[in-house]
Amino acid sequence: MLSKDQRDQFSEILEELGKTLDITEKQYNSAVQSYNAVGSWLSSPDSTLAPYRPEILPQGSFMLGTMIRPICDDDDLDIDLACQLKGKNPNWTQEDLKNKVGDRLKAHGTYEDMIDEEGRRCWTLLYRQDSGNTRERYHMDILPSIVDFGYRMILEKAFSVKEFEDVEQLGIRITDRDDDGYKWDTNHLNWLKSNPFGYGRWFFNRASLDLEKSFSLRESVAPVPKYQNEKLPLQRVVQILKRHRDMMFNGDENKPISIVITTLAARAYQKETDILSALMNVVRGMRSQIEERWSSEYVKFIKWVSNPVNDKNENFADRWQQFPEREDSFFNWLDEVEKDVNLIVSKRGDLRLIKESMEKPFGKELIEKSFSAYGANQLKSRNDGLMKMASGSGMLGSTGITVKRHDFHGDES
Amino acid sequence: MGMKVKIHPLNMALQAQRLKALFPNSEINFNSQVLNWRCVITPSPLSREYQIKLVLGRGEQPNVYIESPLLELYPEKNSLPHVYSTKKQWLCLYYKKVKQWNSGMYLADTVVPWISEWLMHYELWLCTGIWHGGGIHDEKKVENLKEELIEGNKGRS
Repeated sequence: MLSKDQRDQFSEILEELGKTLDITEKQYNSAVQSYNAVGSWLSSPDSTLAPYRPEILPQGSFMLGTMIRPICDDDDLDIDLACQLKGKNPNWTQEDLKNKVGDRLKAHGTYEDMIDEEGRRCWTLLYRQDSGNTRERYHMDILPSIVDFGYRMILEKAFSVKEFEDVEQLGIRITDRDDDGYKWDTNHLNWLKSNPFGYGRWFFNRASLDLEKSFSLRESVAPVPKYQNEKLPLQRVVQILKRHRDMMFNGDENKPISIVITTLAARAYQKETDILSALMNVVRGMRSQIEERWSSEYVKFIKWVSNPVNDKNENFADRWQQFPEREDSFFNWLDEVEKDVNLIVSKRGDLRLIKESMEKPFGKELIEKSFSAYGANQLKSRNDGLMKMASGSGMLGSTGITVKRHDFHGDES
Repeated sequence: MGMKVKIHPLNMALQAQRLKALFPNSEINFNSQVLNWRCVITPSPLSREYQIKLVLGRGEQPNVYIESPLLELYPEKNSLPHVYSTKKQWLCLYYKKVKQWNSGMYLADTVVPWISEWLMHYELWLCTGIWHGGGIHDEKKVENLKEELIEGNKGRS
């Protein structure tokens, strides 16, 4: 059994691991600036989209605060964005809307060169900008979409209330090349519905430890969200799980996808207040959050990870039928995470062994950085007069005798 | 150099009493000239245990040794950070020149917490190869500091 002090110390180390996984504030702000430039281009007066006031909003991990840096620092950051229109020309089909956004992007000399092959629902900009000593490398997925109605007002309301009831109304309509009506249906209320902001609402509801504060959601869905230095335990857990996935599946296309990990983790999370307890319980609980539902399409029970804001219709694990190896990958990964977390916890009683047990699952360099940051915190805590030593054991922590200031010296003099 | 503060040295009995009060399971023996203290310390909740020996001679600075275990070194390093002797596992806990400890201070409230702190930072050093505990380790800097002090005094006289 872990003592509370041990759990807390583990959590402090994991917090540093999470912070080390965060993109820097500078990277974050450059990314926001870059996608806002895209937004301005789409909405500027000479754009055919201008009357519909397009807006670029972050969604996915950028909105959820669960973004992590790639394993290799030179790799692109993935940023999911919604390009949201407040209305459309009544004659436009899904295809028209998709192409209007694409054409406008292509009309910009720089973006034209960055645009990747057309996706099923998105346009992707392989964004590259080098200026001075900053290298910006993003994979910007831009999802053309249209709001049902009066979106802004609803957004404001939904994030100011504690109740969850308005979440339906946060839905947006998207284009999908595989949809039957892609080329002819002009009534957007028939288009595929997606609800990335409703999902965000749900996620922050699950993550929040203090509903009164309705943590940072409003900031998170703003066009220019603020960089968050402090994160909730669930956000840290998701970051840690995604890093473990990246290490285990580097480059493998069958790797478990982030939305499945994030959704199962958020469902399994029980508002644990320290990161270690949260991580252990989430890892233990994720498996049982996967449902079996009857599929008339496959005429059998299939694994189902429902979208919490589109429970009946959307299975985040729908690809597992077409690619059974993805289902295997997911369960292998979950087994591996559980084993690794248990191994790390079993090394209590020796910080060095704890550190070594974290190297394989998370990467040696990242772990050394995390332990360095932890060490720097300890020094700061003593300099600030916050470090104490418990009598009996001599254990440093928050109780006992205050450790006085001094300087370790290197030589007898 | 600076003001002279009168120190009221604590006798060995008072030091021993305070050590025993905070560490009831520790071993202690002393006379008027010397105090020996042996104790097991766990510097942080996830740390291992260390057997410590502290020796204080009357009118002297305390000497602190890690008796066990044998401390390991970070790969490719050949000495421990902040020690007088790696072989003896003899710790440099504070800057003696500026009297960060004097005989008017209780060991249990000053030097002992510094031992815990040294041990925790030793463990983190073993994890990262970098000492994060701060302190004066650049001997050139110390030499410069010494010279500055001498120069400063010359100027004053």
